[in-house]
Amino acid sequence: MARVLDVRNLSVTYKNKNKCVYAVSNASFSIDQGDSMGIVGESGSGKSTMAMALLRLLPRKKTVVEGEAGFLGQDLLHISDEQLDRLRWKNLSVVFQKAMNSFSPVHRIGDQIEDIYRIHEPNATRKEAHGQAAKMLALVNLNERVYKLYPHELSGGMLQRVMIAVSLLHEPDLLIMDEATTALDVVTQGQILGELRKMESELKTSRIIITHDISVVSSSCNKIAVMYAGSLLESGHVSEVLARPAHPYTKGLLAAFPPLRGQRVVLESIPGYLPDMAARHEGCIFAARCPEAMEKCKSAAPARTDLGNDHFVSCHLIEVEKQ
Amino acid sequence: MSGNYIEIKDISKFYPVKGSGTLLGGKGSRKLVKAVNGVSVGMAQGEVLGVIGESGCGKSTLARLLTRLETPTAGDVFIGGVSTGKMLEQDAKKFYRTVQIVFQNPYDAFTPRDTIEQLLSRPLKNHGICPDRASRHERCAELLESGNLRPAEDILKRYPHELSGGQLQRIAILRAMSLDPAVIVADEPVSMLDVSVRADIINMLLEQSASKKVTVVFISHDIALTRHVADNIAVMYLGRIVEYGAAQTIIESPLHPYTQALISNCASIDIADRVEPIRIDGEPPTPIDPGPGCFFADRCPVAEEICFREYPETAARAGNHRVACHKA
Repeated sequence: MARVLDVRNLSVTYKNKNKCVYAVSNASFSIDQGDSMGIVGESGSGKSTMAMALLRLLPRKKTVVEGEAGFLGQDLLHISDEQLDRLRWKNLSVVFQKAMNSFSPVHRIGDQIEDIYRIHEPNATRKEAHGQAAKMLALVNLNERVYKLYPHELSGGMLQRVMIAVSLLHEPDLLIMDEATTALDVVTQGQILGELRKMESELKTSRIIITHDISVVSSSCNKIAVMYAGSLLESGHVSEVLARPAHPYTKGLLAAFPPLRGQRVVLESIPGYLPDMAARHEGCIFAARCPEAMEKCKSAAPARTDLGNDHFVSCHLIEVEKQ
Repeated sequence: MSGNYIEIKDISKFYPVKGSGTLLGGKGSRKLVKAVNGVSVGMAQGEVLGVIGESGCGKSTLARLLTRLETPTAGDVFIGGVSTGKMLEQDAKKFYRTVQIVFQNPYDAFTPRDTIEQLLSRPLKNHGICPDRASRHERCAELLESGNLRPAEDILKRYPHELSGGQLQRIAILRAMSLDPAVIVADEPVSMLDVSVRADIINMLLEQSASKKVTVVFISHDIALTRHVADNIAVMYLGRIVEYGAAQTIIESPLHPYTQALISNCASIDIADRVEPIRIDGEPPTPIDPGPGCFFADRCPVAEEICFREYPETAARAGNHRVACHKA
């Protein structure tokens, strides 16, 4: 399968006058055509920062982005602005959590969709644009009627769905959804995720979905990446990582989620707090909260270990086991 | 049903719609938003009742009615056979001691200018539980210790902004518990918090309520979590309870088509547990004039002619299971 996105050693540092915040450090992952990857982590774990860095949406003066991000043969982090503009919407699109607030209140939804369509298809007729928009609106379970409405006439959930439809207009190779369905109702969210899955198998698009809800990932993605305090601790196929989590943090997260069916279990928290991201950490970033931490964990950062079948984990315990 | 410790009887809350009706009064033509529309449910002492539903179904209004932050349009709540409406008239303090609430956002639930000690001791002072300062201080420290907030002496001196969301929410629960209430209404108590600290809050809420035999009304849109917490679950749709029963029954064999759709669309972390989501079209209709038939009829996959004509009676099923549907 063709590789769509190949991120290597991505680091993002926020800088201001007197301190640096290391928001993402050394993240590496890759996405193949047709893959859907869920990036999970708690608030402050750097998952949104990572997405923003890939899209080059972070303020240039205040951030330092290092590493590589190969996307369809180009390096997203190093191409010129013009080259990037050609990719945006067309090959790479994004939906944010509060995307519904980004509509202009004084233009009809349909006109706004057409504008976006024309960026990459400047010669498209009104009919073509309308046809494509109607197709995508149907995909997110919206009536074509919204085309003629103004944003204030729709509910937040409906606007969010319009935004998802807009992001799909050009049938992009990669769609990034940053908590895009979090604010929606369970039923709507379930339906949109179902439609996206169906569409992905038809159009061969790939998707990155950023969320704090593992259940969304387990039901709609084939790959998962677990982030904690700016580090990617574990990544791999959903079927493998959720069934046999290797990293203590992943195990902890799973124990904190109640299952929907079956026996009721005792929920367990992970004690402690996120570390100070403004300081460099010598050892494993999770060591202070890890129930299985050893001496080594506090002094040396663990390497990324390959467990086979795309399952990667950064933990000393695994390194020891492998030897 | 009459043996219940807490009895919610036909409680309703209607809000007038702005701009409806005629210029010169015309009260009869005024449109109403029926946020909560004749909800009846009973709870035993120490029970945890989960209330689930989509946004706008009236869950939070129900919470506000139970705590009398809103005055019901009709209906009443009885605690141990006593009407809370009467209790509020005769002795408001007693009512507030009986019913306590924990809100969704712990960052907004505390005055930012007071220390935790001031915040925790104010209810103790107002309700005359600990008359002097020294005993209040001691009681506050005890409370924090019982909620695993250590070192208590240090936390008492802090301000809300110096604590994490998880700690604040635990303090909110402890503060509600400090008055020994009969009922605690928890309105989405963990939806603002990170997954890794949620479990602690939930476990603490359950421990505290079990040890003091406090009845909990747990309102949430997280179905998996509600099943974990609750003994019984009530499913709300447009201001009415459409299905009620033991938590396990509701999740595993729901009868109402709405509950079935809701649960089938609920993602599970168990990858082996894949259910094909039931598709329901359209938006939830507005709670203004939802029509004579079943409110869910427009979106219901199995609706028949009768569903559009009359609202279904609530029918009892095995155990305490109740459902309001013509087809179930």
